[in-house]
Amino acid sequence: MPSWNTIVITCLLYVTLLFCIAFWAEQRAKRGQFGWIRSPWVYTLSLSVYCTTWTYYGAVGSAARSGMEFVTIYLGPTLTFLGWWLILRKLVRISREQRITSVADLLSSRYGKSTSIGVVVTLIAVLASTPYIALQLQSLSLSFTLFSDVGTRPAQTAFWIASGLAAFTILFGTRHVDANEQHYGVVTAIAVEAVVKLVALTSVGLFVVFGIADGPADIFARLPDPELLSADVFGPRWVTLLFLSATAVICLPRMFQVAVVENVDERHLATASWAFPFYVFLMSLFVMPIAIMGMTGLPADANPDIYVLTVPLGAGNGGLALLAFLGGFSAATSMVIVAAIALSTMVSNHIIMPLWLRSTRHTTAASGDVRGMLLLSRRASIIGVLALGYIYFRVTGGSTSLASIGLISFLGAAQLFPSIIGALYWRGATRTGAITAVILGFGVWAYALFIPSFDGTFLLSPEVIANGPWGVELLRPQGLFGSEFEDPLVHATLWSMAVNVSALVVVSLLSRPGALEQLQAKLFVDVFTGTADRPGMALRRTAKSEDLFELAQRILGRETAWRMFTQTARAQGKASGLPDPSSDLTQRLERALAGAIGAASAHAMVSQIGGHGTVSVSELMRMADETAQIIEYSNRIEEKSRELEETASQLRHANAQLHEIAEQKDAFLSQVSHELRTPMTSVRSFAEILRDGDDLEPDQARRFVSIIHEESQRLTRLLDEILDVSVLENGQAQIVQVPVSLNATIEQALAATEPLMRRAGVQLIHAPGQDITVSADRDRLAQVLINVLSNAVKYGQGSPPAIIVQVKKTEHRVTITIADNGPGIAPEDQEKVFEKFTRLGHQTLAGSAGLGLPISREIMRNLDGDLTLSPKGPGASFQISLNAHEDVAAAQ
Amino acid sequence: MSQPEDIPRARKRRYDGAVILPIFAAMLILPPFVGLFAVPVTVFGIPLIVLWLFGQWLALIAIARRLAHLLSHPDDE
Repeated sequence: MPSWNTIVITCLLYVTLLFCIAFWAEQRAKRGQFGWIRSPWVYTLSLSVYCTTWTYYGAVGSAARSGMEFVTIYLGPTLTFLGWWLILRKLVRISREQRITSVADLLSSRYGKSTSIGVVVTLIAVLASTPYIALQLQSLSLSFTLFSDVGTRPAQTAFWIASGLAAFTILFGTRHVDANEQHYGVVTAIAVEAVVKLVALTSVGLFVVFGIADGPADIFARLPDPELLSADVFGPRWVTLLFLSATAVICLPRMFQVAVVENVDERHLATASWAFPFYVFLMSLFVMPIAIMGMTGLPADANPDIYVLTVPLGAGNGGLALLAFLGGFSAATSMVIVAAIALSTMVSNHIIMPLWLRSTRHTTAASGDVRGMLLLSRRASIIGVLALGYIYFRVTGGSTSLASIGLISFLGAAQLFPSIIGALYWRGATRTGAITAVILGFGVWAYALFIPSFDGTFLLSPEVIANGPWGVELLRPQGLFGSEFEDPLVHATLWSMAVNVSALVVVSLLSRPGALEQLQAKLFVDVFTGTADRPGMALRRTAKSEDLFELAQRILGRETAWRMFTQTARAQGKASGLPDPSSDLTQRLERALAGAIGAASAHAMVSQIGGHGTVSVSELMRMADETAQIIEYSNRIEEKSRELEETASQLRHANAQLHEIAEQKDAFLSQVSHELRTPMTSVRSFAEILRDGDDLEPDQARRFVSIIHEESQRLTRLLDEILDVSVLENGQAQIVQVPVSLNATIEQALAATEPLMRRAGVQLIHAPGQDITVSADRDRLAQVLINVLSNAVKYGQGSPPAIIVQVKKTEHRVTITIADNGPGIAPEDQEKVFEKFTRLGHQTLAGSAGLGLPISREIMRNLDGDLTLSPKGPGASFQISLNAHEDVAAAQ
Repeated sequence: MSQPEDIPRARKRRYDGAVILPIFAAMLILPPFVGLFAVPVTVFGIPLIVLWLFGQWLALIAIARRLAHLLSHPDDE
């Protein structure tokens, strides 16, 4: 067994080696010689901070107690890394673009650069991590005590360990305030520790399997209780543990630090996606054999949680035990260092800096070095975090409750998981929703799992845990609302997650995000679509370049600030001097500052100088979330389709009209050709007779010639009429309106139709009254009157036939009624009479082409009057209405 | 990132694979599939359930490795 001195010296040497490695890596990085410091393998190995002493020693203990259950703690992260394409890749990309420094910063930045959510998450992270840090200190002092042959006090050992870790963390974790918060020294040292861990555990495993036992078959033959490998373990607890360990890789502050913040190249994730699962696979491969060997080869009262040390010691292999000890030492130190860095960044950025900024709100411009303040607050935070862990260890030291603290801590961190997923995938998640979700989930966690884990010694008494507060059974911490679960962890996970997720969803739906929140939501959710990073997405501020430079210089350092501003000036096309204070510059500066002091503080500082950003309407429109876009889009489509429908119905209507018109045209053409054909036929036949008939008598020949003459006159008339219709219908007719004496015009028409009337024996009833002057074209009006009168003569045919002509004058109108006492016109034909070529009753009368009434009506309409058929019987009664002359004059 | 319509079919398949792999893995390591072989049978002296758990784990790692290679070398076929 190695002596106490050997242990102490080995540890000191090992720590010195780590210091040297870290220092060397920092120097190389400073010179820009990254080499394998930035290789995916270093990244993968650094992820092994996941394997703390709790897993290094505890996995074997767990295997001894519950068989294969320990595998879940490694399978969970395997699952997350197999799914790197979905979550981790997006997280890394966002963190790179937004310069995220911690998990609190991620949530703060996403939910509107909110200070409040940063504070809440930081407090929760510290609360959930402190016991975990205490656990590392406990197992370290425990393993030290194991080797100590002189009386040592665990508390003292733990104190020196904590102090040493604080020194290391301060030295390498806060050497500089970087714009991207990457610590090459620490990461390289941790990668080395990862190798030591793996080599140590594998060596112990190989020694157990092939040194003590005779191969794997022999080991499993020694299995003391076959129940250990039964299927009982694959129950709700298995699922819960898988879920918790899968989320822990993202939510635990230290895991977020190494996996996301320290990631220097997105492609490293691709390698880590299989290499990290392979690492944890190797770490768990020998857990079961070591546990079996411990259970069978060691006294029954040996602590399973340190089998990794006691098994080689029991076999007398001191060197291997020392190696195993170093492995455990590595696991503890790497976890504490990274956790301290992550937590101190969060405490400093989200609690100390905002407070300091507030206290110096009006004196920033004149105050001292912000960088100094920042480093100071980081260092103080590191000491504070480790001191908290140490105090926790002293207060609860030695209690067995620490053993389960790993999973309790996992569930505490898992309360951030819904908000992180919401941050990445749900644009509707709001700050209020996230804060409510995290606080409520954390409250359930504390009430149902964390506080009861003290077995009634802290806050809740054993009676309350057993019977609920004030004896209310429904509020029993481990059986909320009467739910019965065998395992308090499963119970607390279900309830806290249910409350957490519901709060996030419901409160987010009920609350309204601010402008900056919407902008950040878009930048986060759409990080891969490329549209998110368009120029003009920044909030516009007015700031002077000098002030911005001053600010950058104080936080980033003179050199970095100068480089950044010169680059921007070059990009703006300026050869020298400071760049213009464009929104691009403020955005860039804010991101660079966010890398050092967190998004909320950076936003606050830039706003302090530049004034609060305002969002223009057009920017807001652009930010408008996808739902709004979809709604707008569908509205537009709806409108389009409505328009199209309208157009289609108009087209249908127009088409029907065209169709009708075409039919009318066809009918008109056939009518015209028919009408022209009849006189043409007689003209032709008489002409043929005249041509061939040499023996025609002169009298007969003259009669034939006169018939030809009449027929061609009729043809001319017909053609004139057709021409008239087309001219009138197109509105091309030259009709003048002049004062016309109505009586004279009627007399003219009656005189013209008198021979016709006399031949038909028609009795005319007409009493010319006082003369009325109308506004009309006299010839045209006479044409209409003659037409209607001759129609009355032709179709009236009463017995004895009579025609009444009446003139009535209302105020502005004059109506001439021409009625006969014939059979009248059937109601269904009353509109038809005005159609072209319509002859009712198929009577064909010589000289009529059926165009008279249509022409007359067109004339009257052109004279601002009308020709209508009065429905009153008994005979047909046409009414010609037109304007009296006075009105036209008055109108003019 | 290019828009989805610009992504060649072969690459699109890899993206799909990257999404399906964790789902497939979760199915394997969750009950009831994970407990399928929790029977008192040994193969070469090793309990079947141990072989099943570690075997599928290793297989998943191998698939992930292949997929990671394909995803980070988009031009290979």
